[in-house]
Amino acid sequence: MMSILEFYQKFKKREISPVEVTKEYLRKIEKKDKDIGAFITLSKKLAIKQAEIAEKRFKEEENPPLLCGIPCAIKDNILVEGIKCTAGSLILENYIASFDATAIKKLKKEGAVILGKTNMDEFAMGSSTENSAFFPTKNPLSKDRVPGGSSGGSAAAVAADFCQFALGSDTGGSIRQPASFCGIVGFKPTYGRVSRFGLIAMASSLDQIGPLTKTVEDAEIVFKVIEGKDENDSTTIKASFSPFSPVSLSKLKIGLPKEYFVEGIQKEVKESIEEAIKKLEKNGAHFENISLPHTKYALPVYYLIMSSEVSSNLARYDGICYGRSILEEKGEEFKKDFFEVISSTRAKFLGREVKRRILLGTFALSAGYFDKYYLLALKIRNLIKQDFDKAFKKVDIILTPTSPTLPFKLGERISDPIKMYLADIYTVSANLAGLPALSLPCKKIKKLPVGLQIIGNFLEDEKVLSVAKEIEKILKET
Amino acid sequence: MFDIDHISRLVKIKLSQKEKKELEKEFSLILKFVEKIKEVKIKKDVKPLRHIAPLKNVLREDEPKEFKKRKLLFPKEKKKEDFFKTKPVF
Repeated sequence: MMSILEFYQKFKKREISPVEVTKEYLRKIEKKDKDIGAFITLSKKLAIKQAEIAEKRFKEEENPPLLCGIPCAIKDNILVEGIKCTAGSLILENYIASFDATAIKKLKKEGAVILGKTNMDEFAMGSSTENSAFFPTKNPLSKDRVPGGSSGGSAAAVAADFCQFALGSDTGGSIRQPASFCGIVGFKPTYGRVSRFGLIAMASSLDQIGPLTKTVEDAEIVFKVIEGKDENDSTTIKASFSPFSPVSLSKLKIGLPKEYFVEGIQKEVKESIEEAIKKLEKNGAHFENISLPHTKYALPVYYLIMSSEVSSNLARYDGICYGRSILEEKGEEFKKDFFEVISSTRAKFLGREVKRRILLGTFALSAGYFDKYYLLALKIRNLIKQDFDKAFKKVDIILTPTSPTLPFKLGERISDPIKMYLADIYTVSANLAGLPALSLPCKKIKKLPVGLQIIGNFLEDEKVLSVAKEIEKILKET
Repeated sequence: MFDIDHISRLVKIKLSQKEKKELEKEFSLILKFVEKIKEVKIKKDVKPLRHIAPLKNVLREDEPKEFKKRKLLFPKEKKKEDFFKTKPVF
């Protein structure tokens, strides 16, 4: 397994060439992705063109940027100009992005090579990538299991070495949970650190773009490139990247929230995390038991807020502006009924989970129910944030499992929405409170990986990455 | 109460009878799940948290600027000169 820095050194010494590497990756994907289903679209032409530019830069520039020539994959809800962007939905099956997302613009400027767009749950709604309107993605580590979701295609692409890194989006755990299921690193930055301009919106107060990588160091390199204030996203925060000097675990207090180790957690997961904690203790880490008392309400609060925002954000898919439309086939019949066009288009081209969330959100916002559901959820969201504020007065960082279970089997949960929702139980709180959080692999049970989550205080992304680097090192050594 | 006909009219999604039946069943479970939040005792001074970013609204100077990148807004196939072309819907 190579790291971004190793690639970079080899490119610089001309031991390998960006064009050759890109072609090799494209060949590999074409040969092997049939069994995995990580990609929806391959952007071959664009990739070769970018690789040629990168190759030229290595010849002409003394120190090209670190991501120059590095092959990557992009979740199919992030716009890449001229490339199809489906968001995993039939309604955008034919939609071609007319501009680059800010994160993509930054990657391109660095010289990264975009190989293609990865599979996902429709509009990022799901935890297994089985809700993709096109096909499910399989877990490369064990093909009868799901890769997690919704960035399952991105996680599978990194785990199968179809690319060096991938971008995903995380609204309630959609980067961290698939990273955990595929045995890789996934990082959700602080809300506002990475521009959402050009990310197809799901729940705007929770969505955040972040990297899926093979190592924490790679995640840091990619994050440094994509973060930053953007005039096209008014919620971005100005916080210049400051590499946190290497941390010594012995100087940190790590919090263990008791609410994350109770009912519902699979025995193997609990034991793996406890084993990791012991190893870290041996290496000088200090742990402290803490309490985040409103944890058990995080998931229902998340479902109400997310669905409410979804119901508004997805109103734009009306069969008129862009994407597929019932007018394609029944133009004449519907000509005189505007609402019929919209409701028939949405009925035909939106999937079940998407409909469910639009309905739930609209209900939670409707007259007579607004106070009881949406407003109450927002108040509890504040209490959840206050829990974290209090905790971070006592500890520097919080450690939890990423997912309560090992990767589950394809088809095992798809018919039970509540069971599927529970897959996000440890990840949604960081979105509700806007905090940076990272998942890294901590153990394998037979072939199946267990992920460990680190949550940091608001805007302490660099600290999360530095602590994660230390933990990664210790867990690898032993 | 959750009235599926009313809500489906609001969201403009046509539902078949079969879909309505299934969704109604699913919703009774989902609502039971989210209603857990009613247990929480909320003190009067707890404000709703709509957004996490510690930002205030910033207005730019009120100077007219011409928007020239119309191609950004329109999918290629629907752009006609400077207009947006769609099939008739009325």
